[in-house]
Formats: sequence, C-alpha cells, structure tokens
Amino acid sequence: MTQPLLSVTELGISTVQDPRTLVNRVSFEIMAGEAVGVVGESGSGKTLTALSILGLLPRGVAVANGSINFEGNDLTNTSLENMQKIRGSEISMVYQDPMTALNPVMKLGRQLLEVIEAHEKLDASSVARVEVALRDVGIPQVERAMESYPHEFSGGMRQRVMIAMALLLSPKLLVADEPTTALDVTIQQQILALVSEERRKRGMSMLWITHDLGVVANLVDRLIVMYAGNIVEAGTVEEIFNNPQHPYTHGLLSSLPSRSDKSRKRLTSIPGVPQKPWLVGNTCAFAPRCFKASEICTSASPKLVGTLEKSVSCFHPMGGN
Amino acid sequence: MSLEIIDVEKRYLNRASGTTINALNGVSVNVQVGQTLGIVGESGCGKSTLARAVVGLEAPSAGTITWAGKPIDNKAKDRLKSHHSSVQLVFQDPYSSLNPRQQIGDSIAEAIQVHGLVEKNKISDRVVELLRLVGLDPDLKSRYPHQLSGGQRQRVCIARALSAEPKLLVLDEPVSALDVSVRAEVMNLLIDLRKNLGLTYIFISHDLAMIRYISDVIAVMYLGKIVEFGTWEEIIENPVHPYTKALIAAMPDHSVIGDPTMLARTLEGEVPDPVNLPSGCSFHSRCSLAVTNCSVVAPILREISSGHLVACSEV
Repeated sequence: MTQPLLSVTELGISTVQDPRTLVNRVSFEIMAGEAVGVVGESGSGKTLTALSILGLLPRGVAVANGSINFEGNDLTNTSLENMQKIRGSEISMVYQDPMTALNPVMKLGRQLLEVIEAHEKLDASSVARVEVALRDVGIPQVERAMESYPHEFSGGMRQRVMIAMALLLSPKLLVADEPTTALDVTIQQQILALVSEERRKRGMSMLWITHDLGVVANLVDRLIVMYAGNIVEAGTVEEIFNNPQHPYTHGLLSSLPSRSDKSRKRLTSIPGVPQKPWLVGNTCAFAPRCFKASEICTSASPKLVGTLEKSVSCFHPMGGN
Repeated sequence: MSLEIIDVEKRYLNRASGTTINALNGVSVNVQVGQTLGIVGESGCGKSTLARAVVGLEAPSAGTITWAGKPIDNKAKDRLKSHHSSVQLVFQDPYSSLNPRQQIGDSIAEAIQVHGLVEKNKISDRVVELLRLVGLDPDLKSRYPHQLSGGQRQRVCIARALSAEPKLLVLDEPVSALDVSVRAEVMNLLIDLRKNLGLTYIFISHDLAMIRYISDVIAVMYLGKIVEFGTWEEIIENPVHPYTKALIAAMPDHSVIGDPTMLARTLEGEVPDPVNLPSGCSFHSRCSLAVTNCSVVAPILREISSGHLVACSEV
C-alpha cells in the first residue's frame, strides 16, 4: 500500500470566540495521483475543510483539533513561511469565482509571473513557462492574453486562467472549490474535461469540492459525503452511487430527477433542513430528518467505520446488495 | 385562453458604449392553458428577458405578447395591474425578493392588498390559507425572511405570487438557488399546485434535468432565439438541433459513473457576444454540422414532425 499524499485526521474546525463547531472529526486520505470529491450542501463544512488544508481559514475560524499531514508536515502546526512555500507549488487551489480570485487591475501575464516569483527567481524562461501554461488550458492568442486584464475574458476563460495559474508550478495536489458552479453547462463540461485530462497527464492528486453529484460522477475516484460538519459516508464512486449506505446519501441520490425516468414519478424528498453543526452535540446530525432514526441516533454520535473503498457513519445503514 | 408570443424582439441600448445588446431576436411560441412550457438555455440566451416581457416588466422592442386575447400594454398602468392579477413571476433568489425587515405574513398581506381581491377584515385569514397552500406552518407568519430556510423563503415567494390568484405563473430558475436536498420538495409543491389550482407555468431554467421533469413542452433557446421546440419526450429522447444535443450531453448525469470519456463529449467555444450577432445561424461558430451557407442564411423554425420544430438547415 502506498503512503497517502495527504491525510487528515480527526480534524475539527470551530469559531475562535464563543467556540462553535463548524467541522467535526473529519478524517480522510488522498493517495498520490488520486482524485477525491467532497459532496455536501451549503453549511456542510466542505469549503472550510478545503481551506484548512492551505491554511486559508477565514478570520475568526480556526482548526480546533486534529492534524493535516502532507508529506510528513503537519499543516495545522507549521510556520507561515513553510506554509507559503507549500502553497502554490506543492498544493494549489482553484476557487468558485475567478473574477474575485484574480486581481482586476493587473495584467494576466504579470499575475501568473507572480506565482513563479513567489517561489523562485524569475529568469529568461519564466515568460515562456507562463505562455505554455496558458496554451495548455486552451487560451487562444496567448501573447495577447498576457497583456489583457481579467474583465476582458469570459467566465469560462477566466476559470481556465485560474487553472493555468494553479498548475503552473506542477503541484502534487490541486484543491478545487466548486470551480464550475458559476459556469454554463457546456462550459462546465469543457472545464471538467480539461482538468480531468491535465490531472491524468501529470499524475496529480485532486480534491474536488461540489454540491452537485452529477459533476463528480465521472471526474473522481472516491467520494466523501459531508453533512452538518461531519463525514457521513465515504467510498469509491461506484459504491457511493450504486450502493449508498447512509440514509442521507440515499435520500440525496433519489431526490435527483433521473435522465432515464420516463414516468416522471414524484421526486423523493428529504423532509426538514440541515442542522447547524454546532447544535449536533452527541447525536447523529441527520437524525432529525432520517426515516430510520431510533433512540440511539439522538443519544450517541455514530463513528465513520469501514475501509477506504467504503465507510459509513450510521447506526442503521441502508444495507442491501 | 392562451399566451401568444409573436416575433418578440428586445434590444437594450448601452448608453456608455453606444452599442446595442440583442437579447431577444424574434421569439414566437404559444402556451396553452394548463400546459407547462419549459424554457432552457445558457446565460445570455434571453430566457429571463422573455420571462420579464411576459409579465410586463419589459416592453418588447418589436413583436407582441397577448394573454387571453389581450396584448400586454406596459404603458397603461391599469391594464398592467389587471395583467398582473392573472400573470405572476417567481424569481430565482427568494432572499433578495423579500423585504428583509418585513414579517413574511405582512409581506403576503401586502400582496393581497395590492390586488384587492379580499376584503380588509379577511386578509389575515387569506394569509393563513396561502401559507397552508404552500406547505408552511401558519405560525411562521411573524418570522422575518432571515429566520427561514431557503426552501421556506421560496415557498413564501410562491405564496405571494399566488395571492393574486393568477392563471399563469412564470417561474424563473425557482429552485436553482436552493440546496439539492430541498429542491425536490419545492418541485413537488409546484407540481401539486399546478394540479390543484389548474395553473399554467412557464418554467425557466438552465437545468435540463428539472425542465425535463416538469414540462409538457420544451423550448431550447440560443442567443435570443428558439432553436428547437417540442414535447418533452421529443426534445429529450429525440433531439435534432446540434445545440440541443450538446446541451443534453453536457447535462451532469449520475446514471453513468466512473467514465471520464463522458466529459469529453463537449461543445467547442463559447456563446458569441449578443452585441455582434453572428451572421446567418447564430450557432454556426460552434456547430459541428456547419456548412458555408450557415453563416449566410439564418434558418427558420420549421416543423419536422408533428409539433416538433427545429431551426437548422442541416438536419
């Protein structure tokens, strides 16, 4: 068995003042070359988990416990200097909204050169490297693009620039936080195809955050399902989609209208709304909405048990198959 | 009684640059009472402009829209008010379409009052009735929008729209801003209301899965034009226009998993700028079937089988 590239252990994230738990006991691993998806609704803690890997948690929110191990470094407990070395060169990130992630008053070429400059000395080859990176992600007329500002590009093109920037220093791990959510479906498809191809070519690992199960179905190897700050289920894409064990995953999958359903039968819905992570306490976070909930679900918190291929955090898993 | 949209065009003048944005470029479609028309397309295709024109929020630059035989007249305030009592709009983001400082009960009561359909002393009963109708506990009426979940807020917006007792509801991306697990509930509610109140819907979305689920007929829009129209089965099972085919292929789908080749079935390029519309067929720059003539002659929407219309000269 190969060593994991990244291993997150019992990660807890909470607000600093008046501590409120936002992410609770999250553990997962990403192997070298592996793509892992994190699926969850708003408030599930998926973005905070991603941000904590790069030490980019917003002000007032901090890692409360647990560790994030990346190639022998604990990222929750490393110097700012060391973190800056890792960011952009070892681990890089692509955000949901490329317009706010790019500097609106700086030419794109300069912005990409800055990424190199942050880690090594610029030399004669630097400009050429940036040009190659832009060409690789399908930016036309690269010389002109280098002299352009972000507003001169469409949303899809901006996201391509963000991907070029993230891949510039050949990171081992790419963290992507819903980078296609703001894009149209045909453009989303182009970006997914691009990322999927680049990842394979480079043997890069990836953590892809999304709320859309359809997006990751053909993009990642394994999936993590988060709910109210907890991982409720994790496993291979095949296992999660074909044999979901957690009632939440099961409910989520059956609430999606399927393309092959000719009868258009009534959609199955999950009653109620997600609980606030800090109110979960010593219970199962999904219990108030769960059709299988029993007494134990409101008096103890289930633990994520199983293997890398399949694990679930539930007292009453779906079973079957 | 039906809604007739005939050759509607809408252009916006950008005063700063002196350019014209061509949002709608000749849209014709009819909606029969009791039917649900789904309109699907990507951003900038004109679907929301069309929705706003139907409810009278935008005056078309050319063409006419008639409801129950009467043209929608934006100039005459009285006429517009009576139009609004039979045609209502529900927006994508329920949070920005509710007054954050108004209790939701008052918000609904205000809408009832505007239409004057209920006597003053019966308004609070009607509020309770409307809340029940959209599946909300009447006790929520003293809550403020921020105290409700996204799904509850969208139900409030639907209740407000229903307060006018409309015949036609224009739903502009009504579930897109909601969390995945609550979308199904709102979709089920819309389907129940359609049946129980005999409503007619125009359902606008970029999400083909939702369009497919709720529509009787579907219109596919591209750059301000309808490129294909037909029953939902025809459009989904037997799409003809190359753009419709690409849209269906790009639809995130969980019925096929672990197959990266699914991602490769993609459309090249991007939607052209509506300021400088391409000559001929507006899709020709991205189309795999395009021949020289496509950049010269704009195809008209023609019937290829009963009720199935397509605007493409190469199919």
